[in-house]
Amino acid sequence: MFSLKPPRPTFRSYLLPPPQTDDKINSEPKIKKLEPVLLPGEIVVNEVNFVRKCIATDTSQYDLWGKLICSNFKISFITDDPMPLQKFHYRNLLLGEHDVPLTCIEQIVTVNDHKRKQKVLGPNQKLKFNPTELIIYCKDFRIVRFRFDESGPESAKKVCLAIAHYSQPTDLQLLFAFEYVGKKYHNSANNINGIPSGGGSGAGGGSSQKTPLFETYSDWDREIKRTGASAWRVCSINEGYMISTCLPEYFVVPSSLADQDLKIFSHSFVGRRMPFWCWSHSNGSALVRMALIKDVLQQRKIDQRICNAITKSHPQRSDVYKSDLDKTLPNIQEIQAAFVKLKHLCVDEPFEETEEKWLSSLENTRWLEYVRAFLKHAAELVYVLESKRLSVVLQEEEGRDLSCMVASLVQVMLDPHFRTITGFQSLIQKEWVMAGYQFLDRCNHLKRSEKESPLFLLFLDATWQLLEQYPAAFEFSETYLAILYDSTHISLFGTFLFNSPHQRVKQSTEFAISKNIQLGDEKGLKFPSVWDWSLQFTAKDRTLFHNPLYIGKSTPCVQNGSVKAFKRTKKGYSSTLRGMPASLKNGIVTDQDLVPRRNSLILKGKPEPLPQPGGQARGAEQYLREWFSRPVDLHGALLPHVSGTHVKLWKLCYFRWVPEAQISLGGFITAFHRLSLLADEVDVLRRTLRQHRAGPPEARCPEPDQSRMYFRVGGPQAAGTPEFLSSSFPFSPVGNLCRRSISGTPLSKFLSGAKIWLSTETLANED
Amino acid sequence: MEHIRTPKVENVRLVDRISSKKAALGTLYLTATHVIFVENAPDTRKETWILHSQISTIEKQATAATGCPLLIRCKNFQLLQLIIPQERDCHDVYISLIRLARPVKYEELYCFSFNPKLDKEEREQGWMLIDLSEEYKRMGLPNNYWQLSDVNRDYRVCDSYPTELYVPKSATAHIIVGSSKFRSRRRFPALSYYYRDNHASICRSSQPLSGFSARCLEDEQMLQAIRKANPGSDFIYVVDTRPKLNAMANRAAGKGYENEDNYSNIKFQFIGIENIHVMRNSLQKMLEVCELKSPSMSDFLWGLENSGWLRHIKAIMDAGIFIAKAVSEEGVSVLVHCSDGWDRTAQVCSVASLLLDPHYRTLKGFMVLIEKDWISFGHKFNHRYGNLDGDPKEISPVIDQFIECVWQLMEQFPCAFEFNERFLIHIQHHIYSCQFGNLLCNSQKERQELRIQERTYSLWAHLWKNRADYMNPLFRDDHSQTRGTLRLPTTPCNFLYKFWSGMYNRFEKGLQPRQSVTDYLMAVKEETQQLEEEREALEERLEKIQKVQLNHTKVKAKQSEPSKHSGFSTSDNSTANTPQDYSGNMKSFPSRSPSQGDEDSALILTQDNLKSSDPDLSANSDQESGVEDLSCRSPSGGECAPSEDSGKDRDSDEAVFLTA
Repeated sequence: MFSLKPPRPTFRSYLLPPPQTDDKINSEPKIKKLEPVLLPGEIVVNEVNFVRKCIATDTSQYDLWGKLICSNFKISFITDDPMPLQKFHYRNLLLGEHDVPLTCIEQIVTVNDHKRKQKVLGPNQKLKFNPTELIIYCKDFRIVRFRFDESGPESAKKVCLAIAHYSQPTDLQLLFAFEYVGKKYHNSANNINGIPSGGGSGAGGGSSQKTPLFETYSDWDREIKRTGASAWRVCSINEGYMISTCLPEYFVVPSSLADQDLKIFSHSFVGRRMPFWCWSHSNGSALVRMALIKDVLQQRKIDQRICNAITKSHPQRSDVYKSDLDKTLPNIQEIQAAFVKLKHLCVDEPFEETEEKWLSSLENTRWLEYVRAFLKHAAELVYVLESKRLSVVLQEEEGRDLSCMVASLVQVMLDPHFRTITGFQSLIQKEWVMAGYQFLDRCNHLKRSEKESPLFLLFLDATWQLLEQYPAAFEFSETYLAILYDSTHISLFGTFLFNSPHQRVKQSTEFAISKNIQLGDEKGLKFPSVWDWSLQFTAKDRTLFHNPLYIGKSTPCVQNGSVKAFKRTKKGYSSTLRGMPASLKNGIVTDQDLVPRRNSLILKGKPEPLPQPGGQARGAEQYLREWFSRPVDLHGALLPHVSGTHVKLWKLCYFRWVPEAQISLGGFITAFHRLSLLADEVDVLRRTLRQHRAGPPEARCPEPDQSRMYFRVGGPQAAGTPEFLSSSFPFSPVGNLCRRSISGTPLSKFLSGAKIWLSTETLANED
Repeated sequence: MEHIRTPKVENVRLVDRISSKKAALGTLYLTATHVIFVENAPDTRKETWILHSQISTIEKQATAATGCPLLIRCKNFQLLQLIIPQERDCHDVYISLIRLARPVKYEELYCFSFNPKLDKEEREQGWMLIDLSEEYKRMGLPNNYWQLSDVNRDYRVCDSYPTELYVPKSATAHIIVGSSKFRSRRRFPALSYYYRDNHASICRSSQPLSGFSARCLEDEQMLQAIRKANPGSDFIYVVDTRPKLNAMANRAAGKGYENEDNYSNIKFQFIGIENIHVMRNSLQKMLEVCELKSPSMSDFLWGLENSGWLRHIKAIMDAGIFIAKAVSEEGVSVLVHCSDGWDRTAQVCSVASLLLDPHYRTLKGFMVLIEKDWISFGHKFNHRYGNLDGDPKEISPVIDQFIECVWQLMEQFPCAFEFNERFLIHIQHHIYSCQFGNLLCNSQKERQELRIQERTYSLWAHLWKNRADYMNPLFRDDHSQTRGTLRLPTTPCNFLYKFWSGMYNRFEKGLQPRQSVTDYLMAVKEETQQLEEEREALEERLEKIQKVQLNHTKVKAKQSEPSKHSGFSTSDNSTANTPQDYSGNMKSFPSRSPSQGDEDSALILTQDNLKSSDPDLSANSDQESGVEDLSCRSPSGGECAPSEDSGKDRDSDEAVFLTA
């Protein structure tokens, strides 16, 4: 058996080139020292020297000189020059400062400005001119530009072609993750037990808990117990993916449905995706996902059986509420179209042009409207689950796209557990990774654009809206969400690599056989999990994930290896509603009542629980209205404001690379900084207090050496606002060559007609 | 009172704008100063108070079966819909309000009857809180280049200017008077802000009467003098804040703008801020968007864009940024004007000052800024905000825009301001409330003639007294951010400016989450302070007790221990033995409540607002956190674990819920 130890990065710091011991080499031209830092299994495919990386938009004086390499994992630009103008940049341990993972590349444009030619490079294409410039459009909205004025024309061309070839692989197994994991297995065969863990050692998230991956029976069983879903059971008929290749091996079904029935029913569902359970409300209402029944003759009968079973699993035997997502929500193509427009607006379009029409241009993308549509729909389902106490079945043709998003949003809104880092990660495992969201196709790792859709980003955006509206309700920060999005573009983590768990097993088993890797008892190769954040960030950098405003309900306690049953406070709002004595003096409501101030944190009265109206005629609208008129319990249900006034653009995510949008020493991060200091101070004080109270240090609760907060009291940044803070923090727009760069150079004229981010055809104007 | 036709109407319904079904039944009262609606619901008797001066429009709608609807729009963006059963009553209320909302004499305004029960001395002190001569001293004036001029003594030169003004030392009275004759309404160039670090300054004036070719030697000398007052630079910027077209149109009327050829060493610059009529219409359009019930994304974004409001805000900000950069980075003095130099000029000068000088980002500094660039330089409060019945075309949200600019800056630099959003909202409220004398009339001269300071109270003193409410908990004096100039990107970034729902939608149920973070922090801060005070009081008491105890033991040395203790608790029953006792005593502790006994009728709030504004505060009361530790009021501290309490709550709630 393999140990579950997280793999350790095997490379050195990127800041310094590998130390040279040989003095002879030092006398060689400087450029020779520039060696790439490679991961296990990573090889350099091609490289070119004397490359200039463009930094500023309007001048070349800051440009960096160095070597551009293409490996089977990334494009790497290696330079000795320090990065100018940049005040801060968070470091990803897998990537150097100038690196772009191949899977993050969206489009490669080569330019020859003497011949006034340009070409978008596809895989296995020929290039009839020697490029003087290479522009890389990234999926994370960055645009990186290299110039080859001083480099060998042939090698420049070769590197460009190599990048084009390796970033657009024809086969899944050509993605770097396979090479990396294969290498790990080979290495570990020689060593003792150094196999990478598939599990997310939650230490990455900074919390002490491990993220359940829902690959095992016990994870599901624990989730059933946690939510108190008594009439549901884990079903293992899909072990070995015998029934469906796009369902997890274990999933949860109504207890009243026998395995035998399920097997029969399964044939009637698209993709054999029979209904499976997501989550249960403490009132017993369940959230269930289901694909369409394709067998028309059987449709009614099966549907009836399923609904009856779900009803039986409800303690009140309530009816089932069906929500047809295909009919009510935008489809994945529409979402993709919106995203393309949004990207164009945020990255590509000159500010001058959009100045007058910024808001309507934003509206025209439809992106915010779609965010709103999903939030609204999820909120309506919250009403059905919580107030009408009905079980909800999400119906979608395949049940692998919109269902992921809706199911996740409903759970984030209803269950505070999913607003913690570990909980949120487990939610993504449960509703996306295991439920067969097609990350491979939707993230378009293999560059076959027709199936691409940013649904996962849309989910992160919707979560951000909730975070924006309830800043103290989430354990994670918006930086965490942005970094999570970026992680989908790094082809190292098994989490975001496959279309289904089955695909991982199948493909990696094939790969293992071809590479002579002994798998033993394991089902496929274990890829590193994205939840093992220590692979990407240092412990210090990971503290940026923590929201200083968050106040946990209670520290999650793992006792004897099992998670203690989670209890939700029900009717939170009523328990926190405080007496409302309008301090009327001569009938005058004074200012102080705008926000109750005196004793504001102290409960004044304990009002009786909310009367539950017997009739179910109340509309969702009224439910929402009443909900909003009550004080919010951050550890109860959270509902979003969905009017146009409240849905906002996620600026950190979409504008972080735009130099013009950066506000030095400004932005929410400055408040974040102050709040972090405050939260850290509270932590320190509480720790001191506990020590005083307990006397000698407790054995059961070892004091964490490290603060939760990135900015710490007494730390170097405590005195004033650190100079490196800006509204883009921790990202740095330096070196991102966006719109203005293009209009500011001679290149502008002939690039101005090009529609970047659009289809390849429009740009392939060579010859 | 003679205007009130009917002082009381019963069975009136106040319609909840969001849910049209729900309407509160109650009684409507008309008083000399307020419209008051009192709900019938016996447990709450919720009251809604509206100042007459806040009423913007009253609309009588078609009578329906349920009664006669009356729609009242307020200048602070509150919207009230009443349904009055009898058409006759409705008409009476309507006619009365029309008159009450449009007073014709200053004496009818609320401030002349408002009496916060302060004695004469307190009132006078209140008026002394903000002192402009102190402010010029703070800037470092007078000095070698600038001096106080008495040329406008008794408003001899310009009746809309203050009497005390700073002008370049080299500008003689002759030059000033000559220049004033060449400027609209004789508003000659005078100092608005002096940047100590490099001697650059911001001066302000009205447009020159240049027409197509007219010149004025004194005016040219005046600008020369301003340039000379800044030895570090050989030219000055002249910024005309109007769109070029407007300025050119003015030339036909014998007004216009400076000709670069006639003035030596000036650089002339247009910054197109639209006029008051455009701004008024723009606000109107934006408010229509605000009134939409749950607007869709496209309703909202299109509506907001079509209103042009944010574009106008940006134009003002851009002008301010331009001037601040010229002064701080280039070290060049700037002369700013528009047409009369009292609207756009005031906006732009104060935005620039705010960007340049951290002092104006403090609570007191901000009051000084308004006093300087708005009140003293003759911004026409009465005309712009319609305090007295007048020409509706004069009304325009000029200072509202400035206040919004400040808010936009606060959003971009959340830690750079000492005050919070509420401070801005309250100032906006009082611009229309006519409750205090500061923001009345069209000029200093008018205020003096009315003897405002003798007859009314100062807003600044009132705000200062309640300053605890207005503090931004994120602000620190030692911040690098709170020192020096605020730097904003100057490239066209429309997305930097956003809709201020905290202002325009503030009477809606929606809450503003970010701001509630601030509120939350403030509550924590207050709480801490209160507990601090309690601790002190307790320590004092403890000390006293120990002394007494000592005496007791001395006197009754032979007495047995238990009886000694019981003797204590009876003799001094304020000793906190249990949490209950403790909380019972709390009221007797010194409390720094700023609003206690305060008669401020300022913000008329409905209870819905109370509710919607507090969730953040309440939501955390049962959490294991530092915050909760504060709310755990046990004097014995350690033994009473916060979780105990909340744990119980949780369980009992769960039980109730399950049985329900």
